Amino acid sequence: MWLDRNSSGDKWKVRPDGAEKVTGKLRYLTDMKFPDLLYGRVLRSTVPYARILSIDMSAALRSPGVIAVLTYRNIPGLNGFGISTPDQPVFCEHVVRFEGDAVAAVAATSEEAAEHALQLIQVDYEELPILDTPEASLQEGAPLLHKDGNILHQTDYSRGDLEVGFGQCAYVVEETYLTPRQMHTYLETEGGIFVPEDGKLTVYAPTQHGYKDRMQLSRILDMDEERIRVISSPIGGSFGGKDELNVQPYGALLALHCQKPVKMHYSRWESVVAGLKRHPMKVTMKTGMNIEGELIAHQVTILSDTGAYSTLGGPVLNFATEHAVGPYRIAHVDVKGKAVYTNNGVSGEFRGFGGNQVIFALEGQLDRLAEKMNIDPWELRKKNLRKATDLGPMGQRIVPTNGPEQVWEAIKQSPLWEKREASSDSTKPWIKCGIGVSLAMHGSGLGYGIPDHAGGTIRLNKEGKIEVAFGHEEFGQGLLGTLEILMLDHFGCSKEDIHIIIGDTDLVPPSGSSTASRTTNMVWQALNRLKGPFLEALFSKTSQLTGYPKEALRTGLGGIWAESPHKEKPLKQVITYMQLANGTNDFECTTEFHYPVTPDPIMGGHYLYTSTSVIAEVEVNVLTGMVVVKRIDHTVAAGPVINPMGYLGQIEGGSVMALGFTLTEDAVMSSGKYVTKNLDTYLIPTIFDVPEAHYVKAIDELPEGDPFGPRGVGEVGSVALAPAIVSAIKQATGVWVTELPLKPEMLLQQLPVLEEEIAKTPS
Amino acid sequence: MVTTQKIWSPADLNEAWEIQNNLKPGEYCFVSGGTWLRAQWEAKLRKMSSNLISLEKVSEMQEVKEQLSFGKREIVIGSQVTLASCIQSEIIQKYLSPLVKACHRIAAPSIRNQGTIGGNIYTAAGDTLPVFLIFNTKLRWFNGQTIETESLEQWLITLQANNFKRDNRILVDVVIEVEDKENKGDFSFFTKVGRRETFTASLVTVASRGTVDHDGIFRNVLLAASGGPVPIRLSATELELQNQSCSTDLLKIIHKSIMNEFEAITDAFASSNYKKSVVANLLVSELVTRWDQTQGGGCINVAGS
Repeated sequence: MWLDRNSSGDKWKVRPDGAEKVTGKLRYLTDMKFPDLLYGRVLRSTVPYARILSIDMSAALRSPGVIAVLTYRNIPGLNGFGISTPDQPVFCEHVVRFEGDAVAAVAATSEEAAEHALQLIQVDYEELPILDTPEASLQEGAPLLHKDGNILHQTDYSRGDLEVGFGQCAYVVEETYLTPRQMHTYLETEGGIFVPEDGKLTVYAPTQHGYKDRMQLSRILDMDEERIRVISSPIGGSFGGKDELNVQPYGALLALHCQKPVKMHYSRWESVVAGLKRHPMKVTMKTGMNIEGELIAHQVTILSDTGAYSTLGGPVLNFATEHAVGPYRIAHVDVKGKAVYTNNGVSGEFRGFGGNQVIFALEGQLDRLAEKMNIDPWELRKKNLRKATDLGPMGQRIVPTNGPEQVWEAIKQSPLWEKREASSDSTKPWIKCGIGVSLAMHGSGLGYGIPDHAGGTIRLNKEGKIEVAFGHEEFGQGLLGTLEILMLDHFGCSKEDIHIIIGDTDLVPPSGSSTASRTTNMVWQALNRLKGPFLEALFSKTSQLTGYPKEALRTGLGGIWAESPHKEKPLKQVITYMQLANGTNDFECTTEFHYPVTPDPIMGGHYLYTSTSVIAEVEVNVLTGMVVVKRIDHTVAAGPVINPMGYLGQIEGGSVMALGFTLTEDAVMSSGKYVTKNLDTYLIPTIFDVPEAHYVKAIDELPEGDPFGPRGVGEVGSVALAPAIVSAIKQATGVWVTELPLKPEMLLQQLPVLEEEIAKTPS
Repeated sequence: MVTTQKIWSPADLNEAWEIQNNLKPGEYCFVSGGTWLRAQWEAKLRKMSSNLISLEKVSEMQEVKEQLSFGKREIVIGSQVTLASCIQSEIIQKYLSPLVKACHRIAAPSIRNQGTIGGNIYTAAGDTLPVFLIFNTKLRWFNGQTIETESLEQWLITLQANNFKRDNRILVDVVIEVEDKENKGDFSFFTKVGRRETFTASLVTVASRGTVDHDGIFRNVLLAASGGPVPIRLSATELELQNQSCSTDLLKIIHKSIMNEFEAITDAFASSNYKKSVVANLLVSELVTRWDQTQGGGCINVAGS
């Protein structure tokens, strides 16, 4: 089904938060104000690696309007944060390890006073030689950035025997691929308001996991988790970037110290310096196949620049390691990865989670091998695609999936497929056209070995509404719309009969994180588990009050309806939800469960997968090396489509992000400092750079008996576009691109010089 | 603590001059739309002066007009005319279409509604400059006493020679001499290349105008490009083109000449070699296109097609 308004019928719903968003009426957390509000700012090191000799804040403390200046001395609990390993200091004490490291924070009565106070804090540094590449950090004798060394995490997965494998190969391709330090570029930069009250602290700050923030803050503040309330939705975009703590430690410490509400909101400039980025990776692949075109051996090394601190650099590398094998059958495999600390900005969680980098490399290998063998690259993929019940990429058992075969076949329905073989050069001789195709299988959930809790609560609240509460977040992905559709579907009621609570740790149960393309699946599973006991409770009470047998009762518009014994008669409402609630929060049911996980103990290995194929058409201007993507079509095999508009939005949005990853986006660092400090030099695609035509085909059939329902689509739109574009550029120009984002200059260097071309033509 | 700013809004040039004279150098800054300055202030590349002198109330700097001077038609564009007004101006659309295109390619509508022609010129880096160069534009300055005239090209050369130190004259308007009507074979174009297709700073821009006469001979072709220290006219290449017919040999000469003549700057995103190549490629390809348009094609198939 090509997803659009027409094919979706009445499931094409205007999202509940849509009107407020497009009219600007929606108040984000960073729009909030409180009486007696103080403004918080963080003093950042500005030098990438240095020893702190002294910090003098006396002048700042005397400055008008300044209420507090805090440093490492003012942290009651742990001076560190990080979801996986808390190795990032809240405030640096002895050493700063990147230019965004925090040294002090100020609370003042105005933003200007806080800004001025930052300039008055004197920090003396002894600058140290920096490590600005993973290679430099790995050199023997390199200074150790952390006590355990410069390697955050290593992976090593192998099967078969590489030497034997490559011995059987007729074709071998070896190539190194480089990927950029991509920025999430959420519209709403990091921020929040922190309100101390009656021994408690309320945190109004975006995150992708409220309970995790609460735990981390509790550790820093040395304060019981129950005394911290995290309110975290709505969010103006995250894409993984707000999964880790950002403003929270500073706002919380300042608010508790001053006993007044404190607001923090990073400027774009500060967000660039302090915020997470996608891991730049150097991926080297040596891949071989036999004379029949069967993949035999695959050797991969991944070098990941994780920056100064860990956050989720380890799990990202695990993910990259797993996805370096892809949906292909290969007997002899060896994947080794290193995530390395440097004095660069911190890399962390980002939509695609390490998959984007290695999929670009792996699909590039398939295309190059096909060229060597002179075979259609799509046919080469088909020859080597996994079968539905094959083991997963790292030999783990996975839920049977024929997604890769489905998307392989379905992309041929794109109109671009027909054009693929045809010569389609533009009328302008310097515009060259090409079409490329790629394929990927992407895991969802956090993977084996990582707690991946899920759950939810349902009740009939005292206002007479069916209320659900989930510890998930709305950051634009359309969770509210999806929940609304699911609830209306389950209960046959109206939008006015339901109430959804998310993003407030005082009101929602722990549901795990809103990450890893897991949320739709989790709320779908939770509601399926909750529906039975909830209806049982409602119908028992209704039956008791009205005398109708439980079996005859249904939920519907405004209340409980009964079927008459004579089915031809219409249903009759027997009690309203309001009457049933009778002023109480009753009929509450809660569920807790774990995200489905492989039974095989392979750290980070996934169990549920989504598959996608992409076809892209490009135009390359050989005068400038500039590339324009004219059209993209996606097919996605992710099980049933719950919210078509949300699904389409995720694939389109992920795709635009991937377009930036491929063509323009790179947070350039030079000697440990960001060169691209704002959106005038860090270039995301504008609406004019996005192809007008982008169609998405959703394949919703799952293998018979599959109990797991809809798979996630939050990331898969972003993972496979780059190799399709690169393949299209190859078709257009004959040039293989190995470094992203594409550098027009590098492309131009490999194209014939215009002067030479002129010389070749007869006078 | 927080610096107090004063905004001055003089009603005429004399008042503006007086305000300037009463302030010390470094204490004030003239502001047109402020769009370029805001970015500079935010990036801390330039300190915001404690006195900002806005010229938006000076009426003689606000309009686009055409006038006759010694029998020649001139277009006068006040320095405070916004980029958006240039795009909308019927006079500019009629006589200076490459300027309309250049303004269109600058930033987004909200910036074009504020940014002015004067500001775009005064930065010495604006995308309109190559267009003004190919129209032999004259700048008119108020020096406190009178209005003096200086060619844009000379101003740019002097500015670079003086290490970009500006004097205290106020840019009043620009004057461009135009032909009453377009003749057959006349052409003009403007092309910008940035790191993104739209809404981006330029890496290079090129502009040209001239004529291909009925015999297919290039006449009076003016070429300009930016991407170096300041936008420049490519005078040596213009001479190579003069009175020549389009041919493979000519195009080779032109390409080589541009590569030699155009000086570009390497920045974090592109090398000078790349910029030179792009300028040469763009100009050569555009010249071929214009020649083909006037002659019905057949000059050459460029880029191996």
